[in-house]
Amino acid sequence: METEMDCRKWKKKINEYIDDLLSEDQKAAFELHIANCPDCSREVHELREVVSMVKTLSRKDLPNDFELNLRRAIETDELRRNVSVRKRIDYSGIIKWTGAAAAIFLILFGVLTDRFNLNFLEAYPQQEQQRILMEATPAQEDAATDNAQNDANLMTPSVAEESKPPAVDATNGKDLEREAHTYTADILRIETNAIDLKVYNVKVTVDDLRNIAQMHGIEVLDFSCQGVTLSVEEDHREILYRELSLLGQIVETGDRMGSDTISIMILYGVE
Amino acid sequence: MSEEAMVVEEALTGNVPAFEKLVSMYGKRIYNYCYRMTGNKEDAEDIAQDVFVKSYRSLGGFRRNSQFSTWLYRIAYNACIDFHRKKKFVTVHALEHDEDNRQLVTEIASDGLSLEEEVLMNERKNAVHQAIAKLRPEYRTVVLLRDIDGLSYDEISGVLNIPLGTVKSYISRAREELRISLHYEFGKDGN
Repeated sequence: METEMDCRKWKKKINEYIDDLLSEDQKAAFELHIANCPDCSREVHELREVVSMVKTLSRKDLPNDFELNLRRAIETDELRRNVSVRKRIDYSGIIKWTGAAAAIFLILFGVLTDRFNLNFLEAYPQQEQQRILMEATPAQEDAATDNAQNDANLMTPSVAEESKPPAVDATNGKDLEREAHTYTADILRIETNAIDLKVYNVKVTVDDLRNIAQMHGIEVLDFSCQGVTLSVEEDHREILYRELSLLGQIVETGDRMGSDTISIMILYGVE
Repeated sequence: MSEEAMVVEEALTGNVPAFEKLVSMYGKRIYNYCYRMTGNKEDAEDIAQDVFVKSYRSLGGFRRNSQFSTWLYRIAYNACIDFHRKKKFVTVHALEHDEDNRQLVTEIASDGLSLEEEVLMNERKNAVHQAIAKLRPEYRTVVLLRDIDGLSYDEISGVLNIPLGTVKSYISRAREELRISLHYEFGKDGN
């Protein structure tokens, strides 16, 4: 005699049964159950009817001028971006670092405990930001480090403690990797050391980042032409990381999983 | 390599006619998905256009470890979710009555249905359309992808970027909600 417990167990399998996803054994056992359970049997019948009703919905034809309008929309978009698809640079593989003439997309994934970090960069005109980020001289690095220390002092003690710059090992690997690493190290200091995830090799816009966030119900606190600030609950963080990993090549992840405010900045390497 | 895969490969090299072929292969599916997600044709057309503009622009971001159609659906899903979030703060979106075009009605009639049966069938379709529109977007998406577009659970998991277990539970909950809201329709087609 089957118990109510068995019934609940089988109810969970009803849709897999309808979609014919159960193994032969499971299917046979399920059919044995519904033969003796009017309740589950009725449910199977009704859910099948729901599925067949949904399947009766017919597909509408594309609007007549759909393809023509699309061609125009693409042309407009291309013009706006001034990029021909044939000229699109392939960023796949290793980052090609050519001194100051780097073509790199870099996402900085920093955890901000306050908004000061972003404001620090926003205070500069964009070109100046690029210069700071890409060509930090030793003197600027020191200044940036000082800023970082100051920022850290503003935070709660536990956060400040965590904010020690991660040791950057620039001694191994090829020159190219070292240069790229040094490059990000400069940014690390400017960003109050609070980098959690770096993704290279990315083609992404601020809109894409907002879409990703919105798609997963992550609140967008703020956005600008350079990036987004998100409020991320713990279980969303993993999803976000996974999404970002699909966009490019993750080169470093941090262990700072506690903070719930995250800023993602897109830095465009310029030729 | 399937014809579909070859067209995708060509489009990825920047071949414009190949991309246009992709549009003719997937355009109707994406447009209809957007139609059922938004509930009206005008928004569906705008979003579907946007989906293809975006996909053309970001072809380089397509990873060959998934199917091209899954990738397209994913862009479409994101665009529809974005649309709903924006709309929520602007207006209540217009849900169209789901009318089949005249031609189809005539075809049905020639299948031996009486005028009364035709009307009933259209009412029934409209009830389903409305019931689907009432589902939350995630549930609506799984129903559309599974029962109209015939995607596998795995493919749906790729489109929504959620685990397989979550797909199963979305499908169960979505169909359960439809079962409740369409209850009064059961048995009307003679089943």
